[in-house]
Amino acid sequence: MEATTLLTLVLMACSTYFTRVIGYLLLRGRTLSPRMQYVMESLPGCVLISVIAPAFVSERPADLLALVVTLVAASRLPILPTVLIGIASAGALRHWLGGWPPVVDVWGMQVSSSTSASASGAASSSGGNDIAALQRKLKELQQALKEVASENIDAKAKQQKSKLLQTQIMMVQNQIEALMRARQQAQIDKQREQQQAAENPSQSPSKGGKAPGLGGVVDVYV
Amino acid sequence: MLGFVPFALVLGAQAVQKGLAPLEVPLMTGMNFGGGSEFTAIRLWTSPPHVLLIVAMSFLVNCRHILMGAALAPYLRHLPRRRALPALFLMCDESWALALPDAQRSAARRVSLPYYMGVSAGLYMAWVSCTAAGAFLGPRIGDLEQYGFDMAFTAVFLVLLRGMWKGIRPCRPWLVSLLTAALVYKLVPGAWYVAAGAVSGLVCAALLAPRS
Repeated sequence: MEATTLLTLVLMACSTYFTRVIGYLLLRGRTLSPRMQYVMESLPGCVLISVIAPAFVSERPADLLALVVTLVAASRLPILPTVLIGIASAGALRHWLGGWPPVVDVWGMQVSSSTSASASGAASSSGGNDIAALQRKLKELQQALKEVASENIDAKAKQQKSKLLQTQIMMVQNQIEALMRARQQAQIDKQREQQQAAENPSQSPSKGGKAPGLGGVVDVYV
Repeated sequence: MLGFVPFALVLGAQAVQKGLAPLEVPLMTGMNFGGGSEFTAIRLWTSPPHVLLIVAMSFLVNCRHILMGAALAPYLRHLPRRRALPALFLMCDESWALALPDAQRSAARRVSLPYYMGVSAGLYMAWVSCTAAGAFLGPRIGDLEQYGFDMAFTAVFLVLLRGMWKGIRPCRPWLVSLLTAALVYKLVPGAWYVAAGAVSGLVCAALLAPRS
């Protein structure tokens, strides 16, 4: 273990223990003025609410909604149901609203993105946009991979993170390739249909023209 | 006590992701034993850590212990210091919140040491073992935040706040703290928002306090 880590942990523990005994040692047997008492009664709530203040200004709608649900639960339920409701609502809302805005995990990378939803829904109509989005993502990932070396984390974490990033890059590359192939296939299909239509003008236009089963394949990757 | 479990797992898992060794996690939670300060420390953790920042923020987050200790002191008079001081090491929000009303209800108006120690030791062991479990299991579970486990932290704090709630008027300083902390969090990097929220709440309480 590093010396600074140990030092931090020990000093932190000392400071915490100090707060535990100082009130007992210094304020024992004294009567506090009502003013002092009011201040002292308010302060713990002030500190607690300050610590969770970031949750109230989260930029993720799912988190804000989950906070409202948890707040309502906390106002009328004991601790265990509140915690369970909090976890369940945050998990469910992030899942449902997951694509937007992207969830950023602790490594600072996207763990859910809108690309999977759009790829499965509209692969044939907006394939170009998807590919552009994926190429952007690819660039972001490559940039992130470059930045790993200069980050303030230990060697093991760096190694894990680069590995994870490399895997993601590979997946995105595969996705782009799959989309490109699907688009080419769709074009070929369309041309063939047009040819057929030209050859047999009496026949009703084919219902085809859609990239075959692409969404299912692409979905798996993201 | 079960409210601790998700809380502790999240703390352990996040600590390891921040670069702490799995064994350092129970070391921290065992020596420090204060969830709020540990979460704050982990959020601020870098490698190497900013010693003074983390120690100062721990003090700040735990400054409520000063009030809690002072509130508990009249009910600890029957204990010699050599027993009271080690017992206070285990004082946390939950054990305090259980021991104080118990002492106030009791005929002798004193904290029952067996009751207090029973509650505290149970909480202590649950806390240290579950944070350790989080540290060892966290990397295997993956990204806990995705599953909403981080909300356990907020949920626990909200329930603690509800326990202190005395109505809108007496709790106006909380609102000031919340607004200040949120604003500072948005504008200033680092953990200054905790300090700013606490101090603004303190000032507000001092101004609003009854004069007599």
